[in-house]
Amino acid sequence: MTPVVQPVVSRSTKKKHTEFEAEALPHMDVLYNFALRTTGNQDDAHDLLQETYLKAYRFWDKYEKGTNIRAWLFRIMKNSYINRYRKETKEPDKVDYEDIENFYNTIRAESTDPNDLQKQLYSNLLGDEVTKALQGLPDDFRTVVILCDIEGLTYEEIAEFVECPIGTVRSRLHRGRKLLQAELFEYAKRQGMIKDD
Amino acid sequence: MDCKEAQQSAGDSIDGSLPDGVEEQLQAHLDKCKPCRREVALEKLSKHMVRQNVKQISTPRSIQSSILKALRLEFERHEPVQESWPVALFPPRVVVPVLAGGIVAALFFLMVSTRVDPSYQTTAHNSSNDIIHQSFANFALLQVGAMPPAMVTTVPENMSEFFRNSDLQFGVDIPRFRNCDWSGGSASECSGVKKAHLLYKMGNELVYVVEVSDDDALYGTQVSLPLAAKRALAQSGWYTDPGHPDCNVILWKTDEAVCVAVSTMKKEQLLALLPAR
Repeated sequence: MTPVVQPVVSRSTKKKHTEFEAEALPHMDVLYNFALRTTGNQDDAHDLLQETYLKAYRFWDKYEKGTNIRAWLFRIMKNSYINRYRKETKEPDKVDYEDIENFYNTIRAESTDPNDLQKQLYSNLLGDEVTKALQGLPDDFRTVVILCDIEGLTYEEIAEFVECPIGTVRSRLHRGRKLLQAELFEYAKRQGMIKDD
Repeated sequence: MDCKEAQQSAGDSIDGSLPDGVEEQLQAHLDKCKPCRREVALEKLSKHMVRQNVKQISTPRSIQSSILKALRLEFERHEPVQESWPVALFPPRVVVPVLAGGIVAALFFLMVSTRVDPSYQTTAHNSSNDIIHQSFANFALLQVGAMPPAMVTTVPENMSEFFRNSDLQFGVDIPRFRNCDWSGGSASECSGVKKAHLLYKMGNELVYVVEVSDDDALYGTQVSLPLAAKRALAQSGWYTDPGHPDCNVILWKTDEAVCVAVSTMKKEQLLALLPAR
């Protein structure tokens, strides 16, 4: 029989590794979902998730024990994402919020009853369209919408995740939802689900 | 409450974080003010659309594996793997033939030592309480991604600790495999029989080991083993099935447990990886 050769590693490294696995691995699904919604495809989500875990592992000494590990991991992921994509595109996408918000204001003014709109959208929209619309939101808005509406985090938690005051979280959430709604409404109109008055 | 205040508290209301008193004020305003009512309804609709259509999904297993592997490589990069004495003392070209000879000898010994028992040829894997049969069934489930392990690690010591804390009442034997990407463990209890489940991933290969206390395996009524297996385990501590050359199952006994290993690898390959005892 072959004797099994054991890697010899120092105790402290092993301890660090063990701790890291126990603390950080349980949050993989939340991070993966966020990566997927942010990058829009599985390959990029995989890369981003892996980069996040490797960075977190390298900087494990910097993690303050007992603080919110999920928020810590999330911030690493967010920064990795920004570095990676800002580098690639040089500049973040510029979306004309004004246009969209003006559009939103016209929806609001239209006579369509939100209850009817809801029925229309519910019965006709595919999950893919919502995912796409979410994907199309500017980073800051998308982030808070994902954390609040998909992950179900409280405003306090989101503030800790994105390192912003709660007031900023509130206004980004409000704006993000408005933009999303305008996007979906426009889609519904293009598809003829809602009649253009 | 005026329109401006109403719009400011709309989000909190939708997310259920508005204090009761303020919630009532908001509702009172909405009852009177149609534009605000529409605004709140639209924001609520947006939240529901996202909730309904964008589902949380689990990380695909291939991605999980890849990340665990990357972490293991990172772990080893910082602490270079040092060969311990068996390889360091003997250069590989000497060791390999000697070991290969050893494997053949061990296999031969296993076959000879078990073949003396005539009941061996009648090994049956069909009994529902046969541990071997159960192991095959579980392995099939594991291969399709069912039964994920309760814990996953790239450090084998973590498995020892996990099982020490699992109240199994027998010492779990934790085989160490070289080049193991990750390993996982679970503990289960069924009809009073406690089992340890170990899963190893090495490249494309999987090894699954089930362990039960030797009291349960050899003398119990809830789980059973073919008679030939019981005899072989009592005599040599090992059992494989020479009647089925492709039957990739290997059993061994420790002081406290009986272990059953099933693998995607061929029996000989797996035998070569299992440590001598």
